[in-house]
Amino acid sequence: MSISNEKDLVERAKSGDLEAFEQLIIGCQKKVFNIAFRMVGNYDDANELAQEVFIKAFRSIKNFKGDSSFSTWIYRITANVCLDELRKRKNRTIVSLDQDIELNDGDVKRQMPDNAPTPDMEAESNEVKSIVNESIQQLPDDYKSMIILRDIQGFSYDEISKIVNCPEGTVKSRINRARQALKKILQAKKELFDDEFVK
Amino acid sequence: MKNCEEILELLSLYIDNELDDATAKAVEKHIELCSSCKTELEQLREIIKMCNELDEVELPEDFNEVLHEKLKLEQKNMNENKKIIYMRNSLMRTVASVAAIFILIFAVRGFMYKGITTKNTNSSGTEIEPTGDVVYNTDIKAFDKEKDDVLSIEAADETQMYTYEMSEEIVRSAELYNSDETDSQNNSNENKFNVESDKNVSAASGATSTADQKNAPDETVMFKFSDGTETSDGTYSLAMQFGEELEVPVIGLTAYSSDFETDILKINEIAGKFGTKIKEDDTNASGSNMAKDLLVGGNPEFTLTNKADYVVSYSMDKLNYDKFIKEIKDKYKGKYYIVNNEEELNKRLKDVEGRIIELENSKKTNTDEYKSLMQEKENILNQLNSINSSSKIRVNITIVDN
Repeated sequence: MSISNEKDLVERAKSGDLEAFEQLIIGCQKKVFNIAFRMVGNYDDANELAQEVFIKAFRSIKNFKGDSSFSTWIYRITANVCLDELRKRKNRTIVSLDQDIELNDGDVKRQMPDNAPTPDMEAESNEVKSIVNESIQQLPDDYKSMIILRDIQGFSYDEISKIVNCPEGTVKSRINRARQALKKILQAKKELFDDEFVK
Repeated sequence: MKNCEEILELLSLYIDNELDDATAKAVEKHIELCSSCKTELEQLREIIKMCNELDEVELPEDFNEVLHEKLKLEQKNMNENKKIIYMRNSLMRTVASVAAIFILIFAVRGFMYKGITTKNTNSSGTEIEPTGDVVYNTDIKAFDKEKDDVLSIEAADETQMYTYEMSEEIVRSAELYNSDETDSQNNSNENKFNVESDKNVSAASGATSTADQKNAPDETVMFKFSDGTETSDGTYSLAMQFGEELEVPVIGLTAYSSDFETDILKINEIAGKFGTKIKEDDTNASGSNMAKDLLVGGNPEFTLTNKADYVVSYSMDKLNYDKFIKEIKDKYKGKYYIVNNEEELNKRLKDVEGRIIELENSKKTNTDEYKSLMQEKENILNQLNSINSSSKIRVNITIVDN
């Protein structure tokens, strides 16, 4: 999409032209969906979030000033929507893992289901892939978004700083720390599995 | 020569070609000599490669269909809102104040007629019967768009709030009235009460009402809210019907001011650039002059929530309105606040505080993130303080088609 064409479509979308908006988002739908999918780790939730992203974008396109490209703006909304969702989830499930469950015939250790490998994730045909994905799901939200944006989606540092609304310096150090954290998780898993997927 | 620790910090950037040539060279040199850093580099590369290789998922087949339907609905809502562009807070205040005004009118009126009825019975011996049921609805349909449930619920709640305040007042007025009846010495009081009420009635009839003035209000209370629930406190019937005027698109902006006189001039100057002044009111009224007038004969302590010290109304078209908001936001950032901000600030504050606690719990108080969060928290608190401590200037804007 040429820049002038995009500008034209944005103007039309701002005045409520749905068709123009739909043309604008065609190019970034799959990326939005995939970012959401990796962020929440579940296909159905990703679907819901992606829809939410585009509805939010349509609602607030009036505020889009054109400082960045339209797609960057959309990815920024995506990041916000996903992080909000993850935050909400955390608030919902505050249960101490160490706390024993009291039963009539004595306490039992609380067991939590492992959230990472949902049936959707089993679609990751290859075991290594599913372990990588599982590890990404275990990262803190900030690091998770860095890995997804940089190493899965391949955005540049500059784009990432616009998407997450952080100075590039912060992005640089955060990506570094995110990779280190991911490495740690993977190495811990390596001890559990025989496959040597990390040299 | 850099040490391993420094090199490890740079590896990620090295992989992404984000280092300048000299630093990149230094990293390469170090890696040739240091096997542990070399392993580290290889491991990182491997991890990045594994992430790169994760498969992309495809969109669900009906993704666009579903989205299209949702967007169409959103578009419909947006078009409806074009006519009534509002900011939530100020709108609710408008609704609440109008509701309160009408409740006042009818309360005072109601007692008026009850008084007359009783009197007539006493003097001529003929009983005047109520000629029919007067059912009054709080009709907030205009704002009860499906897409904004919260809005309508809030409207109902606020209306209800005033209702309760009202019933207290009714009781008080009733006591006053009864004492007039039994104590002739208080007749002058009664007369005064009547005159004032008459004035209110005439003001009200100009506004809007389903009540026939000849009807004595029925002794039941029925509030019909948009969701169909009815409340009854069994004391009196109050009438409320919002008229056309609420459908006039009105936008309330509140600027909070510390230097009142200067800011009034300044705000008029800014707004004057984009629109035409319709009327202004600096009589320290609660929302509007009308509200103040109608309080005569009522409880002077009864105040409305949308207390503003200065109210001015402008009309402007949508384009100029956008420019006006932009100017306030850009040029007068930190000085004038659009009332909506208060809500946003509180929301952001909650998020920031939550994250701060999270960091504190995990003992990460030494990080950049923590510092910047603390800074942001302080900023927000300052802004909220200035909102709460200064006088309010309110700008009502009527959007006109051009």
